[in-house]
Amino acid sequence: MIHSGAPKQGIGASIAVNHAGLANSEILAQRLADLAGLLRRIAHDLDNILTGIIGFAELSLACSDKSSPPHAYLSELLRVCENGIQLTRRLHFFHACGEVSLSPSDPASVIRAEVERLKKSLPATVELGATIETAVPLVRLHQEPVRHVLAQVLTNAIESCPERGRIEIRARTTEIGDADTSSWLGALKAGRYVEIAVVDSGNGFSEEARRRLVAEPFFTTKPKHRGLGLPIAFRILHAHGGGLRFESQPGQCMVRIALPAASSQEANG
Amino acid sequence: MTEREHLDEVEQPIRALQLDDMKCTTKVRILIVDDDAATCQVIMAALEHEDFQIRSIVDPANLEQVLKSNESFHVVILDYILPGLVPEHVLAWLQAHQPEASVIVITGYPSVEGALNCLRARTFDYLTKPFQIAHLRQTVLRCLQSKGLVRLTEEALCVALGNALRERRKNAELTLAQLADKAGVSLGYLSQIEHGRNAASIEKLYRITAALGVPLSDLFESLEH
Repeated sequence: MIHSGAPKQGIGASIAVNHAGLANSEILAQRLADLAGLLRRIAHDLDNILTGIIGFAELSLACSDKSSPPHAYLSELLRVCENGIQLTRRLHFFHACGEVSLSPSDPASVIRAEVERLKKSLPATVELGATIETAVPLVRLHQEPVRHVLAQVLTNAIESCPERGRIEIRARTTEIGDADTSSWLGALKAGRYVEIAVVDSGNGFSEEARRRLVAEPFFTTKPKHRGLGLPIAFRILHAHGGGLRFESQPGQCMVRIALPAASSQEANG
Repeated sequence: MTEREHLDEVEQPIRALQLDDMKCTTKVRILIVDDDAATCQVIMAALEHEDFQIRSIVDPANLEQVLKSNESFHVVILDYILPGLVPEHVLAWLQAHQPEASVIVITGYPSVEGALNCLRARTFDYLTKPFQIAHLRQTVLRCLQSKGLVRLTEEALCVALGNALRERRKNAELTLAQLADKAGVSLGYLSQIEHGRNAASIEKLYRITAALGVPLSDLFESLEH
């Protein structure tokens, strides 16, 4: 369910993590870009291998007796290949997400659409509330990748929520000064930003895990995950001139996303 | 169950047209260009057809020479990214030296830039790796249809006409017996035609479509899809 209005509890007591010593954002961005290029080439080779396997499996399937064991095994083989396709698609996306085509858009509508979509698959034990400041400025963004970042951060929040958990999304306009930019991971410069905070009632991650989750593709703390979610989120936000930061304490974890507000010139252009 | 009811019950699944249903009007020359040998092999195996003459190039270094040779191709299935070659150059060679060829581009992953280049060079269509055999065959089939290089085999034509007739009869909510009566043909004859076991004469087809209240042309148009 969606709640509007101010959340009852603030997060003032949380400890901001200083990312400055964690990783220089530009070095991280470059390192992930290099990795993306490498992974794209590996994905290309894997696609070729999958083409051969899937193709010959389908040809064999067509000439096998429908009630025979080989028919069942080949069908199983094709299902396994489907996982391979999912993997290479993800690797290709890790590469492609670094390039965005920006146009002035209303971030509130992107947030609302994503919240609506997630509500449908939300576990009954988790509450989801959204508070979007009125008159949030336009942001030059590429809708699909930004929607992807929101989905990733919200899904992480849902999965880390204990039973009877609660997730809050708050969007507001904020000025980020020179001194603050270093506490963000991304490409922030001093200026006006739209900040989207996702707060959940889970325990967040250890600082070590958090560092590795962003900087180390394929590192994951959860089963059935690939460990590409946050590196992809970082690359997308970096490409937007935005970024993300984490703050957590036991029982509360906040991920903040910042996207630069469009100047009035950009908004009209 | 009476015989009449029984005839109405027998259903044949309607399937999409396959390469096996087709006969080519000429030997169709197909060139496959992919630096991945397994991809070339799988495409060759998938397109096995008595009327196809298929050649494949695995080493991109040979491509320019083959395209510029006297051998002309009807269809070129081209890997978009070939080591050592610029896609735009390859498409330009094709336009200059293989004017008859329709190009089906295989991409590793559909990039917007790649898709735009394909459009510019009037590529017939493109496939993303890994592709399904059925999709590859359908794409090639559509390509050959658009070039007027294939026609249905007599058997497949009968089946396709039969399917089209049955669909229209069901839409008109008529039983086989009712339609046979209306059209003045025997029930057995109509049933055989619907099941593609008999080639109907044009005169009989006309009677049947007239009884259904659809133009004969509508029936033939349905064969294109």
